[in-house]
Amino acid sequence: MRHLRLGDRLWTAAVYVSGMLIIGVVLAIFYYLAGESRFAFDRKFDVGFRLALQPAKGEYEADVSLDPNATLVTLNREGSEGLDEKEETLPLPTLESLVGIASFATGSPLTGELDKVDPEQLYRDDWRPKKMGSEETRFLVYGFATPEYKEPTMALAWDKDQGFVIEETPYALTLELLRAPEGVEVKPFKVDLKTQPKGRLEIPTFIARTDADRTQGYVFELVASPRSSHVQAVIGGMASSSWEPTGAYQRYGFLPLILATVGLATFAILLAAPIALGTAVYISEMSSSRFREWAKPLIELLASVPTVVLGFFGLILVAPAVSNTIAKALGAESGRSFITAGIILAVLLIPVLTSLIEDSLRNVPQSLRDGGDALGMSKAEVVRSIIVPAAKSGIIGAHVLAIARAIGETMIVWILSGGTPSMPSFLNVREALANLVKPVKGIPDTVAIEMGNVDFEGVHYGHLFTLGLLLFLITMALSLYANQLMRRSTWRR
Amino acid sequence: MATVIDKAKREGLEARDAQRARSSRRYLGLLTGAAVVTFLLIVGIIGTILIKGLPSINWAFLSDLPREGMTAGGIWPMIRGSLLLMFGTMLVVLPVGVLGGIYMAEYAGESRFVGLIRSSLVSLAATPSIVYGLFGLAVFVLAWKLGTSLMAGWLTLALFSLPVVIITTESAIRAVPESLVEGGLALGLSKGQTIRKIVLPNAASGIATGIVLSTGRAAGEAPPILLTAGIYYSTGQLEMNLETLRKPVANLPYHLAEGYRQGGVIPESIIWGTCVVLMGLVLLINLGAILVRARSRARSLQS
Amino acid sequence: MNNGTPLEDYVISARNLRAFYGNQEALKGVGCQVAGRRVTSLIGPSGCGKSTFLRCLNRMNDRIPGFRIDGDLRIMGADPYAKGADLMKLRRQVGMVFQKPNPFPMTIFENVAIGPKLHYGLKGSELEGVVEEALKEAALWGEVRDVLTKSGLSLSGGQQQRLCIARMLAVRPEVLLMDEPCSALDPISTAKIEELIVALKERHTLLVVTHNLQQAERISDYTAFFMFGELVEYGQSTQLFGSPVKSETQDYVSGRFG
Ligand SMILES: Nc1ncnc2c1ncn2[C@@H]1O[C@H](COP(=O)(O)OP(=O)(O)OP(=O)(O)O)[C@@H](O)[C@H]1O
Ligand SMILES: [Mg+2]
Repeated sequence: MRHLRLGDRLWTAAVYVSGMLIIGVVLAIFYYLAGESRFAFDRKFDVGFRLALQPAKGEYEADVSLDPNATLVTLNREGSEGLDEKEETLPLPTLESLVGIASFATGSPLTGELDKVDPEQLYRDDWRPKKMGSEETRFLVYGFATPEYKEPTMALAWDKDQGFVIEETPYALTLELLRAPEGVEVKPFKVDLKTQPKGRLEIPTFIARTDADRTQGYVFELVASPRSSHVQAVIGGMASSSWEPTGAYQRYGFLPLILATVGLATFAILLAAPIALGTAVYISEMSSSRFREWAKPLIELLASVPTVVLGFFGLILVAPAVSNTIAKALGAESGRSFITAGIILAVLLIPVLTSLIEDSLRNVPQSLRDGGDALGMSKAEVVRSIIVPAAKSGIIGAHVLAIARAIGETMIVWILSGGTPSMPSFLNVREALANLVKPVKGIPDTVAIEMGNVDFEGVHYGHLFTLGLLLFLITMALSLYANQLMRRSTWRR
Repeated sequence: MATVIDKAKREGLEARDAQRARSSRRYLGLLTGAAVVTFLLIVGIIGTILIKGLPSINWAFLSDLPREGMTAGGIWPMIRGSLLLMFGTMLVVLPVGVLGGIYMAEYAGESRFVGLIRSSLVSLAATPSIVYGLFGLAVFVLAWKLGTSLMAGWLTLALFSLPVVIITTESAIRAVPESLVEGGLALGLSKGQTIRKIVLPNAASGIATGIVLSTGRAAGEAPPILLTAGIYYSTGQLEMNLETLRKPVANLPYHLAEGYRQGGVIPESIIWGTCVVLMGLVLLINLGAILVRARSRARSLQS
Repeated sequence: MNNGTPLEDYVISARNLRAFYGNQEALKGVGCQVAGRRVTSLIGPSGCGKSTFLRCLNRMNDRIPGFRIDGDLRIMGADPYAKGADLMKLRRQVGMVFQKPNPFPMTIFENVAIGPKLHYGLKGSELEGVVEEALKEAALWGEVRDVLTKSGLSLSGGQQQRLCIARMLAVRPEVLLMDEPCSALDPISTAKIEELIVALKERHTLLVVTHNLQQAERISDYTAFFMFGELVEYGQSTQLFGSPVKSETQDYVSGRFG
């Protein structure tokens, strides 16, 4: 008898543990997704500016990036911390080496301290300081002209590096004349690079006559000072409108992904809802029970076709059709776009929605149908003004749940949406329509595609987990709301 | 006031009736149209996939290894991988899922806390598979150092199917007549014994249906497999030993997803064939489950 | 039974009416004539076909698969089952109240307004007038006049049943069918409905199914006793309860049966 009781106790313990596990799983998902998201906060923010001393009138006036003598001041560019790959860098040229090649040079020292500059330690290519903290970072830029240059004035030209988006950087950036050569009178100069990311400043010529002179000329200072805390900056980055995690300047804006996912779900539900509602009403109110018996499983059959198969179906059969019609009419080339993904998503939602709506219609007590009949209402009137309103909250719940399903759907969007993050545009009717045939990229497919190519526990990885967490929270909220709606619609019989 | 109606009855009653009948017919016509669209969609999509894919299917396709860089030969390694994933998942989810379902049906009762558990269950059931994939990656692959492997895939897919298994188990248990339970208790069995000896055997077919259905669906779900267990089929090695558990496994949804990603390497006919096999796997399971349900219903009607 | 009134003056007349659910014969040749502006009770043991008979009168069984009817039925001179017969019209003439109150899940006002709105296209103050009058006739106006925009489901069971009666009255039917209208109600609500039934016969013809023999005796002018799908006895209530002709009736009304 005793061992039986022990068995029972073990049994009960196992049962309770399994029950508790459900909450455990939710908490664990939250914990780990949030936990891995922390790697997003290792993000370092890039700055990229090119500065060059140039002839007052010269060939590189329009585009500083073509000037071989420009210095690129960068902060936290992908791939290195600090100046550890010496072979990549070029020292500031000597006067001798410049003869016949160029008449100007610029370069930056490793440290930002003016009085500790070693002329042998000036570099003029990618210049990378140590990891950026929360304090401001200063870059010094030295420049000179060689005796070959005869004009009385020369110019400082600056421009942001290509790909660097100054609007999104969390730094305040200024460029300032820190020191003029001895005996030269120059007006103090300071610009806010955010308002003036590209410019020229004409200054009196400074000519280095010896190698030692090279550091005696103009010194400019570029200061990057954080405008917010690091955490705010990372979150601000997520709230921005461009997702380019692998470019020279990485951008982790969630907005295009969120808009695509929400937009696709909305489009799909708008397409699916009337058909699903009609089908559900037909099955529940108009068909015989024999029909219902096989119709319901048939519909669930479509709902259980693996989505990767549906995606392939769309790719081979729907995408070309779209590309030959709507896409062509709106001036797009590819059939893999918002609308194609939306259509196939709707195909997925139709059976899901139909089944859920039909359940809530059948939940409406028969006595209400009788009541409507007895009042002399036609079948359509009974359905329209009694049954559907009576099942309203259940029907809404079904839609909410279907939206959650669409938001989380990965493979269909992966295969059909074109895979390019883009923001919708609503400037005019034509552009608004063109959004339909634009390629987009949503949250779940981005996570699935890009997770295959990231460094684990890196910044990109962290951002993908943040996206996952977002998805988890959104679908959780939607499903709880849907559940509440559907419970409200259960009739007391 | 009755005169208002008398007047209305005299004036235009018939016209209004006709109008109502017409708009009713229109409305019902729209409903029928919607239903026709839905069924055409179902038949059209499933039919098209079958028509496109069935011609590629023969015994060699099902039992051979891919050859010539995936452009010829069969897809047996992927089928085998999907079956492995499915059965392993089933084994993992079975104890926890069934015990969890028993808890919900027999032990939970009603309280704030149980409400919380139910809410958790509802959210888990609606959580997208990619989220489970991320969780599996962070926990099983990385934290537990299982690597991208069959085992990590089992655990991830088991979690993914857990909520559905619990929900279906709960309803299967609730469907067991109360009188049977009371009979057991009257025999002097403890609650645990009653559940094990009387309730579970009676609910078994319902529970099995739930498990098979949800793991079948899980095995067709690409994202979690992509992140935790999948590998693009590369070589022909197919040994089965303990090491297999620690290795990634080629499988059908991954093959399709990756085949798509590689773009145009795999000929279309092979992809259609793979689609049919994957769909067949999931749909056959579905069909089997429906049959089991029908049979158990018939049996319960007889008794 | 026929006390001299010519046949066409009867509001309802059935001859050899048979009804089937699939193969099961629920009415086995019922014949009777119901006079206008009277209350007729239908009594009999459970499953004897009272509801079936009642539901034949406004074709409420149409929704039931396998239901079939045979024989001759006239309602105000017309055959409701005739080919091309107008269901809307029939149900405008013949209203029905069910055993369990079934207000629609909408406001009290809308519950009553939906009938006249659809049938007669009434709107605005005319509609309000009709709703008010129907609620008054159903003796519910005083209780709900201030809460017309509350849900019909928020009322008590007795109020809900009177709301259903008002809903039916608002369409102005001639014939009112009531299938055990009080069986789900408490005694006070029951008394109210009984009063209402008696008041309504001023202008309507009522058929009321009841299992409460005292109630049948109290409220009805005529009573029909059904058994096993047959109409065993039909006549003035005083006579049927006082000195029934058939022995089955005698057994039933004296409580020895059913
Ligand atoms: N929807 C139906 N389908 C099949 N048979 C039915 C249906 N409704 C009623 N019946 C059968 O028809 C017969 C008459 O039923 P009916 O409901 O008319 O009886 P009743 O006199 O109203 O009984 P009660 O007093 O219990 O309401 C019964 O034998 C019943 O089983
Ligand atoms: Mg009845």
